[in-house]
Amino acid sequence: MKLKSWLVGLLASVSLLLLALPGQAEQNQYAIRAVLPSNQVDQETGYFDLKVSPKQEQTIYVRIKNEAATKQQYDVATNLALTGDSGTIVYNQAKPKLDKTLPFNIADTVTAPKIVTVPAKTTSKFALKLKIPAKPFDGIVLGGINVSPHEQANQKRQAGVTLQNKFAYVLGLQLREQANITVKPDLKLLKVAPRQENYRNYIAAKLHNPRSVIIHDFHVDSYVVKQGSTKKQLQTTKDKMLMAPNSTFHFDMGDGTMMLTPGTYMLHLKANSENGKYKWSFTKSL
Amino acid sequence: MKHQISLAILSLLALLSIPDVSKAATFSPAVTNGGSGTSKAQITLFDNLEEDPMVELTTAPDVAFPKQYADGRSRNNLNAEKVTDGISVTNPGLADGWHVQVTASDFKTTTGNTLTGAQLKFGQGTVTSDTGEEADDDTFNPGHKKIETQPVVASQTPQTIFSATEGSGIGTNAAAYTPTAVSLDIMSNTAVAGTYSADLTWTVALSPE
Repeated sequence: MKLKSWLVGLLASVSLLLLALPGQAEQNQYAIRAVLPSNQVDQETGYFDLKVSPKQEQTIYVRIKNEAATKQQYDVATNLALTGDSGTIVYNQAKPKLDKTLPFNIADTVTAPKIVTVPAKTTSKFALKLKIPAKPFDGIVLGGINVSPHEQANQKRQAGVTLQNKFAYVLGLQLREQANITVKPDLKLLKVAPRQENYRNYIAAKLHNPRSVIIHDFHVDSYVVKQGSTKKQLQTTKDKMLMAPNSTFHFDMGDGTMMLTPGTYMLHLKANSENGKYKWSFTKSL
Repeated sequence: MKHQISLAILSLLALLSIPDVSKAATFSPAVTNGGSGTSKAQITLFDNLEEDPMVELTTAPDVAFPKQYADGRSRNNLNAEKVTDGISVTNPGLADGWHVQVTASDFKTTTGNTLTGAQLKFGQGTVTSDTGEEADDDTFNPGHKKIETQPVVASQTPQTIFSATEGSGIGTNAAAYTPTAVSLDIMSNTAVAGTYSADLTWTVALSPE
């Protein structure tokens, strides 16, 4: 009797499981993680933050868990950290324009496979070989290890599908030669000019972080004033931004729909980071 | 006769379409017990195939727009017809925060026509978190919550759409979007009839903030 009810319970749970399957077809099927080595500065982060020495060579590992019932291939690419024009750190540029203040491009220090194959229902690791340049550097150098499903040429698209979701991961790769970073962030306004983005017109302030540190919790308040007027136009405020070390980005003002009338304008831009710990103020004509 | 632009968006994921039912069971124990210290430790304790804790992006929104006539007129804030699934991030115990970035390619037909200047916009999503942290203020960024969505005009530059600050975001965290929170702008005289498709790439970043 007891055995029978146990069996009924088992059968019931098996059939529930089968019923639950169709609704989950949207789920992603893989994940990755960093295997933190002993020269990791903080063992509690999910990204690499390595204390290194000039000319050091080291192999680090990333694990990929393939939950799918078939073998999968993944593309791997390590890129330099840049600041995207929305004011966040991006890791997707394979051929970045290097800032002249940058100590070196971290992508050039890494040797790793371009494609990794992971068998069904298995976790595998792949190696990244680092070779630190001979010239010492202050602050941090930052990049990201990108992993995404391998893109196949002539990949078949489903008929009628118009938005295709893809799932990707990026693990930060931060290098430093001092455990405690003493470099302070700085900000420069390089220029202010009209800029077209996706067929919309903005006035953009090109901001520059010339130091080898991240500008954290970055906040900008800005507007322009026409000469002979006191009216603030294109008033734009944005907070919770980040700037990558040694990088620039365009801070777009307005919503892309408003055109300024001809004339001379003055940009007023105030910025701060880390909750007001660092402050900058700029005015510039355009 | 007017032609139609088909903007019906179906569910997809040809590559990654095999469901997994074991995941929830693997991750749930790390979520509720104790403070972040206990959870943090698990990242180094487990190191085998069955229990290898990883932050995982499990779902992303599938967005369907109503069909539109290719009449040459612009559309501003054309709301989605249906949004299936939200953004869901499971985190077995990494107490350092995460962010989800999104990029969008151009809308193109298979014959190479582009919906020039079209922009896909996500407004605020409704956040739910195992730990209830969606209600907690982010002390480093006044006016923000520890786990929150950010409005995004999707482009080829990655933008953060959903994030958990340092010390938050363990467990299952989801952002749900209503059809009115997702919209499309189409510029005038850009669309010839056809089915336009775009790729949305959702990236979980574990990186310094």
